[in-house]
Amino acid sequence: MSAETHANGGHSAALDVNDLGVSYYTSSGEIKAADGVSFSIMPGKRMGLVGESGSGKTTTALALMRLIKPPGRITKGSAVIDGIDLLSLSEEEMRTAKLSQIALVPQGAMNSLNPVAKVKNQIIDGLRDHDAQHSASQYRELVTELLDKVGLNRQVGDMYPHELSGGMKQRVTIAIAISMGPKVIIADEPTSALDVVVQRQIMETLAELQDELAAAILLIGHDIGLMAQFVDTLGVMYAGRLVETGTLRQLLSEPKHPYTQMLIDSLPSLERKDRKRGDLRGIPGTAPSLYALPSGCPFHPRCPQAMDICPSEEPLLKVVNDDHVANQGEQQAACLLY
Amino acid sequence: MTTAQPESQGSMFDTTIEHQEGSGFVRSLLAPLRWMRDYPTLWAGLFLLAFMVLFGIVGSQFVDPELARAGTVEIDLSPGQTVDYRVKGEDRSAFSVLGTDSQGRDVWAVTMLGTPLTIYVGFLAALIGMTIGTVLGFIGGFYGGIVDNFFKSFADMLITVPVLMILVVVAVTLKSSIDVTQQALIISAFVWMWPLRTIRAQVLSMRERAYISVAQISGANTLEVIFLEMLPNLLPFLAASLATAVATAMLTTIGMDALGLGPQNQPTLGNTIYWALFYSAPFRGIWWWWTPPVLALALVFGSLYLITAGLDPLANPRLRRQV
Amino acid sequence: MTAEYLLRRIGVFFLVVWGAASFNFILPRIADVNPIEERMSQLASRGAVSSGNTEAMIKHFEKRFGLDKPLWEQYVRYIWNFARFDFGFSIAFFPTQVRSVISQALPWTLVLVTVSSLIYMFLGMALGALVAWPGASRAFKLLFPPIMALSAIPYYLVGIALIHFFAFQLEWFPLGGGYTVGSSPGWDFDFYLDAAKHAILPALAIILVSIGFSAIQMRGMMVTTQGEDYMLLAEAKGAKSWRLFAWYGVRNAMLPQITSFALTLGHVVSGVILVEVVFGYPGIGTMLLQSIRNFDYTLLYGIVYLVILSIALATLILDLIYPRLDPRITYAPRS
Repeated sequence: MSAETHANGGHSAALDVNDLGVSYYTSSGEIKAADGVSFSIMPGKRMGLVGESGSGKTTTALALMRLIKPPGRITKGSAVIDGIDLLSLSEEEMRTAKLSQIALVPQGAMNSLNPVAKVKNQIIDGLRDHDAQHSASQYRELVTELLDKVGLNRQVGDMYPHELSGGMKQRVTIAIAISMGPKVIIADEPTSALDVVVQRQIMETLAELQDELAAAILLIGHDIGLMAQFVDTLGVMYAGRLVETGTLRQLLSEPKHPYTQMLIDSLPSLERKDRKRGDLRGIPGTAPSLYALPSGCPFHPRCPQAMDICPSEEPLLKVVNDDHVANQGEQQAACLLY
Repeated sequence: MTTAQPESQGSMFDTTIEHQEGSGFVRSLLAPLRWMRDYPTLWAGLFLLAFMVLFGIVGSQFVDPELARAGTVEIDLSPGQTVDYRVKGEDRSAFSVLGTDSQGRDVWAVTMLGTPLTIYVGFLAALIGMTIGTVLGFIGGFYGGIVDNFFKSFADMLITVPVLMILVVVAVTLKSSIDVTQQALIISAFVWMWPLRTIRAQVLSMRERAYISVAQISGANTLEVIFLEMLPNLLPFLAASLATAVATAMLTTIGMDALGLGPQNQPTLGNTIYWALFYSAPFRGIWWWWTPPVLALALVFGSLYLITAGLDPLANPRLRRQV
Repeated sequence: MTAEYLLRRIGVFFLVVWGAASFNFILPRIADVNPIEERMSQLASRGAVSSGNTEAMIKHFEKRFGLDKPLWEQYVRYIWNFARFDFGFSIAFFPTQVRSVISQALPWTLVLVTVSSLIYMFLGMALGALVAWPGASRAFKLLFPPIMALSAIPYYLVGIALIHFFAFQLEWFPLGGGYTVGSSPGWDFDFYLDAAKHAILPALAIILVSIGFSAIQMRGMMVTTQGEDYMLLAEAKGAKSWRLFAWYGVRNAMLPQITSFALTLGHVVSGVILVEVVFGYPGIGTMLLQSIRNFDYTLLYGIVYLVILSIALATLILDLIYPRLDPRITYAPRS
């Protein structure tokens, strides 16, 4: 799989993830929460990563930030930004790379801010620890500027998190994420706890700022409907593996992997921009337990197109472009049909 | 210590577990062993407490109660000597393992007789207090209202008050001499507050949870819900509350004793400490007088602590998972 | 959490204080005990009654309690006196005022409780936080079990052992008391030093036992904070690990310590009183023991009332400063 991914990624990618593996070591054995995940994002582009809960999308996001905690461990792979592999940096080097190279907009913004610290201090303390030597007034200006960029009043800096609405809190986390102009922003279901109107506003803010920074965004989520309005490319995860990647148009109009096909079919009409959410819950069968993955292709028990070979052979990602969309870029799927 | 993880402690039992797979009978025999493996702290505490209770009860059978009376034997003898004494004109002698105190008592006899007495006061007071607290907690958690409000507020208030102060006033004012049972009854009036708070909070949260509502809808009456649905789930909390209540009650009883307000003429561990302090034993280096009661109390308190700590992962599963 | 809470909280304070005073009034009347007669008969049995003094005492107390007046008037008078901290004369130290007897002892206890509480809170929180912190030295984990074992034992029993080893055998510290007998309690450096030497062992008894309570709660809270979303974001920010520990971990984990300190203060003070008894430390505890032995009811009631009042006051103050530490809690209505 790696040869093909590299061909896709090229050298100009903002983030190039190759063969990433994360395992949790429990008393019942090793659980591969992410296995052989490879993708790349070009600068200024937005990639979406979708999947059911437990599919490994959040694990992938945390692994890129090097935030996997014991009993979990990154077992293999690389994640290259600017020629530097994040996964082989020392702890201290990685700490410096956070915020300046790669930043996180977290899931669950409701509790992502320290309840006992003022907003401005939470923006500043990340900068301080990156040896940004500024005077107090410079910091104050910087905070005002950052808050302004994410559409918040400067007074918010002097407020405590509990005084802010969910949307405002999420904007603060975005302000923190862009504070040092990172090359890659990972947004892990940044709007999952918010109502639909606020969701759109936040996503628009995030998109604007990303354009300004020319950063790449990896957007994690389970809501394809929301995602479809923002991303350029899409990756679909299932049971810790990336099963299909391609441009948004490719995946929506010509999904190749049966799982992707079922996902797309289960969506309410995407063209109607109504408020229906495209959740991934309409697929028959249940997601497999990572404790006991089916052999071969992990999707075969739920797959309507399963073949005799599926339980015994594990499919790898390969290029599956149809000719008439080939000019849009590569589409890859991990399915034995191809 | 509280959160000892089963995985890390279990290596010596691992082989046993493999054997169990074969036979259901063997497995049921080994079930308690598995429990011990999973909750070593709890079991250590229970064993230690059982040992102290048995130690006192059995040991006191082999002790001449006369030796625990002041003025029976020669005073201030260091441990390991033979003492002679007279009971009803009859000459007796005994080997004094732990020596004698400044009032002519044998320290070994005093400790043997005192340990079960003090544990008895602690348990009796705690059981009564627990019963009051649990009943009030259930009533409050279930029905709410003015009664609940009153007892909850009263408990909150009483918790911040130094109970020993109130008991001192009671004991000094009543001034009539009390025995251990009466002392336990008085103390029980001040150990119901924490159980009430714990149980009430649990009942409130349980009442909101789905399975209770289902039971109520399906027509079970309140008592059935309490005894069949709630009580089993509350057992870890009740047990932990009881252990804490016993410790509190014992702390209070020896506190009263140490101020000279305990049951007169009974060799409770607290009274022994009172007399040791009265005769300045620690300052005179008569270590064999105060060491046995202090050690006995330390072991009993330690066992109660281990029980509480061992129940913690059962009562608060979250902590166990996270550490 | 509004001004209504504030009023209710202050109301509870006065309720406790009023309850403590009433309790002292009602109990002897229920028990049908006359403190003065008790004391007289006790003195008489020792053959130590100086008749002039006794006459004055009986006269004073009858007038003071208004024993010829109706019960409700006696009660109002009693509560009024207690509200003004007027507890009358000490029976044992007649004609010294209870208030002045107590005011000699109170500073000793106040300093002992405050200093040892501050130290044990600090050490306990530090130990608990470090034990739960993955990056900290394993030495703290080894320190934890013995500290927890000590926490199960009452202060004063630890105190007795401390006296034996460090004062009697090693002679590093004086054998009890608050200052060297014969030295005059003047407020100069030598006296402070002498008093400090006497205070170390009693304070140590309190600290050694209490660290465990503080540490185990802190450990639990630190474990919880490490699972919080704000800790994850702070790490994603690339904050240095001391900042994660102190400002994201400890700062949040310490909040419940304040509440539980307020809840256990009564317990702590009861223990300190017994520590004083063990060490013969010239504070409230030793004074209490004397009043018990002398059947000095007025002194006893005065001490008990003041101790309950002090604790209620301390709890009230802790409740009122809590919002300054946790911005989520506020008692004032939001504009």
